[in-house]
Amino acid sequence: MIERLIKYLQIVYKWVVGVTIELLYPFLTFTVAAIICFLSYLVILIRK
Amino acid sequence: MIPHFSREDVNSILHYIGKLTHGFGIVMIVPVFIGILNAEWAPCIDFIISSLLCISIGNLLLMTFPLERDLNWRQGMSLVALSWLVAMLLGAMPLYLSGHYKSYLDSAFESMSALATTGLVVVNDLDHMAYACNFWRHLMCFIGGQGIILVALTLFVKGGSAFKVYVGEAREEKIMPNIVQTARFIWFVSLTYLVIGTLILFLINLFRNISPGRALFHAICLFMAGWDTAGFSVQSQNILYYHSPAVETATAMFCLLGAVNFGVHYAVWTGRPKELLKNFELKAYVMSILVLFALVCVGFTMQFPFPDYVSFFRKTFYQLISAHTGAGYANVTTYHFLKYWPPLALLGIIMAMGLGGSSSSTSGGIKILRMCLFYKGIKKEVKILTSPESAVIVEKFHHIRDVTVEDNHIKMAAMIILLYITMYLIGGLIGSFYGYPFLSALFESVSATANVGLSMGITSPAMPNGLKVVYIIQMWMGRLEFISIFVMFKFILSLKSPQ
Repeated sequence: MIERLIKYLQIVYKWVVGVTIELLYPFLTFTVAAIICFLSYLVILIRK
Repeated sequence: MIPHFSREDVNSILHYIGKLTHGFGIVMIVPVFIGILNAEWAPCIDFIISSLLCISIGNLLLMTFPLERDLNWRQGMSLVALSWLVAMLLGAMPLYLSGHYKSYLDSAFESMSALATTGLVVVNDLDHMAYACNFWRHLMCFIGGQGIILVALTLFVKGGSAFKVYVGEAREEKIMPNIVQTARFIWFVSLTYLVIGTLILFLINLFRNISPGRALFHAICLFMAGWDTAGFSVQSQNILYYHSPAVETATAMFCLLGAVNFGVHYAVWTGRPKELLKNFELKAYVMSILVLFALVCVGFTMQFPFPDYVSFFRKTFYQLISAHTGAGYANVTTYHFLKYWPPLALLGIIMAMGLGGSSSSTSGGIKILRMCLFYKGIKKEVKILTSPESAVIVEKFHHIRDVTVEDNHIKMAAMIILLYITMYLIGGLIGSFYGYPFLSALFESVSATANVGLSMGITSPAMPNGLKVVYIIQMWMGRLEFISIFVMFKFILSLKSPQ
């Protein structure tokens, strides 16, 4: 019974960790994009 | 010799169409509850009439063609292609009855746009549409994004037939050994994110002083259209209506997650989070987003219409994510696009729309995996030509598991890429024959075929009917990735020609 419970808890734990990591993943992309955008903004400011 | 389609084929296909029609009628009851909650009696009657009609047609087909047999490949493929047309016509019924559409063609356009998760709209006065009807538009996005057949798989289609219709709907990968289990897992992922996404958007809306009922309605609708990369919105101004960085961040996040392969979700959710870093398709996808975003930014070095950096980033990156995931959410107006976006930035958006998201996701377009295969194919050929003749060249990449690149993978990928590019160009040329500038017509054509939904103003209730039909065909073909539709045409032609 306890073994079964531990098995279910492990599945739930993996699921929670997986969803959390996935939700954070887009923010990494957004951050890198923000840096690219900032660099081009600097270029635009310099050209002005 | 290729066998002709027989009466048995027709019987099997129409039997399953009957089941689908019946099922569609049952799903139409959901907006009735939304209508009752909001005391919208006329839309409730529209949905009840449409639902009863669907159930009656479904039952009639099931009675006329009662025998359920396992489908073969050609039956499965033809069934899928035909199902989407039938679903378009049925889904258009309550929309037409709502009075917000000029003609049945317009409501069929909107229905196909929702089911194929495109997001191009021809509705009149969306801001005053009944909640029930507006919910139906978004529910169709959700059903279409999951896949009409995938929905049916979990309910109606069993046994050996399942895989044939699953493949016909432009999904090739079995995440789990059993195809029905795969369909259920896809539902599990989507429903999990439905709860999370709705909750996040609901809280954002509440924080912005929108009444709880309205906040929940907007949250559910925005999530359904965002996750399934459809890009429909409750209001005519689309995402621009909210003027909220939080709503934009949340929708961009869910669009991006919706455009990720369901196999990657499975790997990450079952204790393999490193798949996010190892998956070749996902790495290429992120790289493609960043490179194309850099191209859009470079485009604006010549002409800069934004007041500051924050506005520049918000508008450009959101549009790029919206295009690359195939969502089609817009936080700029069509006028802004036409007047202020330089051609290089528009080219970046067109390329992003054309490429689309990951394979086996809710996204449309060419798909990154095919571009990866194409790249690996070129690399393999170069290696073969530069190595000794006796050398055996093996090209591999990691996509859920280690995959060896084979010639038939490359051939299939190249063929689909070519078909997409041809379709993009044909649509663009047809649009320019109707008198629109070629860049705008190409933009709209790519948007329709890749099921994106961004528009440069061509798509409207006033556009020519011929162009509406062309875009419906493009949305349909783009969503099903051509092959099943070609099989269906072969089926129709063989019925006409003598045995």
